[in-house]
Amino acid sequence: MGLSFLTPMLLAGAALVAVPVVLHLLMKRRPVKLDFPALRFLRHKAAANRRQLRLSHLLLLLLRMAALALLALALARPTLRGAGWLADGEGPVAAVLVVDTAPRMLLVEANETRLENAAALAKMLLAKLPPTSQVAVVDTTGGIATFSPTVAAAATRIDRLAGATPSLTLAAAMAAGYKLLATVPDRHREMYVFTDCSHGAWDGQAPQELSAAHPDISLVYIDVGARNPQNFAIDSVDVTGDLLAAGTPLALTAATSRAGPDANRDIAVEMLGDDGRYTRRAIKRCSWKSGAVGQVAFEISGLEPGVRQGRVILEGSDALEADNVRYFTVEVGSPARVLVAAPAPAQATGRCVMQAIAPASLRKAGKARFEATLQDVAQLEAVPWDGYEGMVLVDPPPLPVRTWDLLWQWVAGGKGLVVWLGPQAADAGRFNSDAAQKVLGGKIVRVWRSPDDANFLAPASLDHPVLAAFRRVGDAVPWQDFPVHRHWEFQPNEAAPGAAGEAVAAIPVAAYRNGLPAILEHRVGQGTVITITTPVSQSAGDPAAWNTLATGFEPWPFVMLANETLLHSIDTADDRNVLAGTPAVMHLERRDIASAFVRTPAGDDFPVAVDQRRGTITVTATQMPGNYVLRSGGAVGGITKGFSANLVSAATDTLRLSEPALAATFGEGRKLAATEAELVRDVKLERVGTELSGWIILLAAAAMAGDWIVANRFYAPRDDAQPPTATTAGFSPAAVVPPSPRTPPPLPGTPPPLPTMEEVGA
Amino acid sequence: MVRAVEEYLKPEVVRQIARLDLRAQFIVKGFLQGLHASPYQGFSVEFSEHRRYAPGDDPKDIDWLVYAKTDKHYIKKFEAETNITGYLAIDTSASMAYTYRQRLSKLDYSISLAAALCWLMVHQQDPCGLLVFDEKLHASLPARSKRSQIAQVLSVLAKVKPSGKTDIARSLVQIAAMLRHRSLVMIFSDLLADPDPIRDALLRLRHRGHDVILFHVLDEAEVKFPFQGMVEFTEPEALDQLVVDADAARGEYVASVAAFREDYRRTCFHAGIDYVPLDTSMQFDRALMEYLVSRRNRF
Repeated sequence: MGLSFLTPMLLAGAALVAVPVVLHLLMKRRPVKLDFPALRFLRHKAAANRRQLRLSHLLLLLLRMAALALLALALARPTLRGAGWLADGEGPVAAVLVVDTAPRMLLVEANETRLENAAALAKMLLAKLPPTSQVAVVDTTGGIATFSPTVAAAATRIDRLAGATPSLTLAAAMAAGYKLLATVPDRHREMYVFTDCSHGAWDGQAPQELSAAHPDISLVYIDVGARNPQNFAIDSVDVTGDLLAAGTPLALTAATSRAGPDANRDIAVEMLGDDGRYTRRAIKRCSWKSGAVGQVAFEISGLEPGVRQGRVILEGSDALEADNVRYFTVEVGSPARVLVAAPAPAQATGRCVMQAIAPASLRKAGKARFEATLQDVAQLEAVPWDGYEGMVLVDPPPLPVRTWDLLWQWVAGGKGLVVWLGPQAADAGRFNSDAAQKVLGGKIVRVWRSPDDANFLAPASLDHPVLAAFRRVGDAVPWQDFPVHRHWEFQPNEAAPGAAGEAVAAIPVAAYRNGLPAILEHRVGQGTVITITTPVSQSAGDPAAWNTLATGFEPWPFVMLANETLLHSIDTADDRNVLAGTPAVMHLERRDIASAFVRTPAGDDFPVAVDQRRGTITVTATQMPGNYVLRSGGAVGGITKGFSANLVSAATDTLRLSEPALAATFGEGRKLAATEAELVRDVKLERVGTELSGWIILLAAAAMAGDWIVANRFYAPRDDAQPPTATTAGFSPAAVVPPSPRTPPPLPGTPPPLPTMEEVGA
Repeated sequence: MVRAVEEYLKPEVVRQIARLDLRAQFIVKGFLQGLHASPYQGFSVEFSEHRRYAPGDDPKDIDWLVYAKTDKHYIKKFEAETNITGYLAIDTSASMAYTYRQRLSKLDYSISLAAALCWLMVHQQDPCGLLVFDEKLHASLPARSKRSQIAQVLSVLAKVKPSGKTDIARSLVQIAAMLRHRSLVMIFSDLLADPDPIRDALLRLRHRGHDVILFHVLDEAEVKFPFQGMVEFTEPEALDQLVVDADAARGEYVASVAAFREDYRRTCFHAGIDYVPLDTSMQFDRALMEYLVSRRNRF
């Protein structure tokens, strides 16, 4: 904020303040002269009166000087603006137009999208810029910010703006704009931010800090947001477990929200077929409440093995198409082969795990997730492990170093290992070999005992994929019904990065109520080791049982936990559902594949390279929301993978910020133009500033009025208001003529006029 | 001369004074006598009463016949004749010519008042004379009770030209020396001079046995000080000048004038002098009426 003058030359007029001084000295108005016989009564106060007169003169002089100085100031047209002193209202400027191009800007209101509205205002703005101005258009797609060669080129760039997956926040785009403006310090710099003032655009952003850091750059926000949007939104789709066993139904939960009046609208789930077409598998009628969020759950069964993609779609159309569909990808596999190694008698000690991961009924029906093989842990090396994708060590005793080494190599190759520690570990010193610690990511320390039922599994959050399945139940999981009387205290290794940049320490996933780790995860190469610090190898009647996880009443939490830990450990951790714009990493089981092709939602194919060392394919071009298919090696003998890219919810969150929230976001004193007129006003305000002439003229008028009042108080009018002076001889002839309008009216009680008398001498 | 009479006693004025006469008669018995029904006792043909002798009484007034009959000393008292000699003493200094926005200057106001009083006295057969002074006594008319006396008095007053300084004290001393019989001296002045000598002169006049009425005539502007802004005042007699901020000086001035008048009022009260403060905005017939009524009530 600074003060500048549109016509600074006229400031020289302030020198005219010398005029009243000279006039005051040369042409001091004389007081009214009157005869007055009773002068004796005034004399003794004369000195004080004279001082007061002198003060009055000074006041009068100052008022006149102030009036002149203020007039000169007003003529110089002082302006208050944020542009500083150098700005010239008509000179070329450097302007950056930051336009939000997130999909929510495609919201239609009054037959135009927010982006079209922004483009129209932007072009109007460009038309008003001085011709040789430098203009840059910065959007949120993350392109390089640079000045357009001409204003016309910038206008063309505006025309080409389209809604796209944002890779920058609006604040980040502003930062890029500020950086660009910093390269032209000599010009008057302006930034215009076209925004829909939505939560999606500004939540968590602090643009006022940016603008505060650049006080010399004029900033105007242009509000192109919808005032009364009518929109149905599918905010997200939650796929619980994107790796499904054959025959397992797919559970989907769609989060919805509504802007506008209450309404009913259908939501459907469609699966992508091999022919590239979507087939409807479920539809639900939903009641959409104004301003409220909702959830719609679907269960899709009968999915064939392989990568399956689909979408949740809103029936019909609304003001914003971008949030009417969400995509998902799941992988339906044949039952994974796993080896369950339990101490002798393996049939007894491994029974709980076997029943949990591969119940006999499902095995017979061919719907089991896992094809499990029970093995005595002492004979672990007797069977080849190559055909297995995962292994469960139930209450393992101290194993030979060689066995641990083999396990490490096996897991690092992309396999999964779940270890349920128990009493067989017995001697911590023997158990904690270096090789064991290398596999488990830590060591056991001692056995914790809780004789009463006070200790049980108490996960602090359900964020980890192992626990994701419990989200549907939430706090209703009855962990307290399955007390844990004993468990191993597991101490993860020192958390230092390994030589290959891999973590060597296990990470706690869930804890007991006493705060000690219950479940730990350790990444080993491409594989995963999950360690649970209490066993499930003991029978229900065993008085020395460490817990009742598997032997309590209806132990469904244990069943889920056994399945989820095993699933997680053998999962290849492909990125099957990613946010649009973020890279998706796919893992290849085969190392003989050199390249692959990705088919985008638009139907285009492009090749992607395979990271041979890691055995992964990374797809970075995921800006377009939809289902992507990755193929290599042809239809026979090749591989097929896929992933879905969805817009981040902020990209479609059109909910408008409240006025206080806007004030907090943009800072006080922001300029937020919503219409062309307001924009013109704000631009003028920033470029030309607020003229203060009116106020100063008002002050000058006040000074003049003060001058008039003071002058009239001290000086009677010079010529015409002289009161009748005393006659020097009897009655004067004037005394009897009718009073002129200037003569003061006679006082009440004045005696009637007497007849005229001639001069005494006449 | 006739003109002068008409000027000061034009029909409206006479009508007012006649009304004054009627009203006065209504209020007290014989308003014309009311002016001076009077303290003069002594040489008269009309017996009034007997009174016990008290020390201090003149022994020549003792009625020896009553003493012979009663063996007690009685004083014989007579009602004096109501006729009394009145003198109109008018200040004609330059300051008396002043008026700010009234039609009458202080002198005009005084003359009008004096003319009315003269008319009253002559109509009750009282001799009335005129004394005109400024720095000294410079014109006079002997007291007569003829009807033509009014015209003569007004003739002299009409020729008066206010000028020069005033010396009221000196003039009053002259008057006191000049009047050999006890008289009613009616003084018309603005008293704008050093008050101490004037006080002394008034006391001297009173001491000589004269009844004194002091009409203190000021201009309305001199009492209320209605000026505004910066004014350069010139004193008409001494020609002194003073520039003042009238608005700032008003309060102080009005208080000074009020104190000045109060000072005279107190002095006159103690000396048995009737002090009549007037300003030229007051209707003189009403002022005269009020004064006469109050005077009548006192006697």
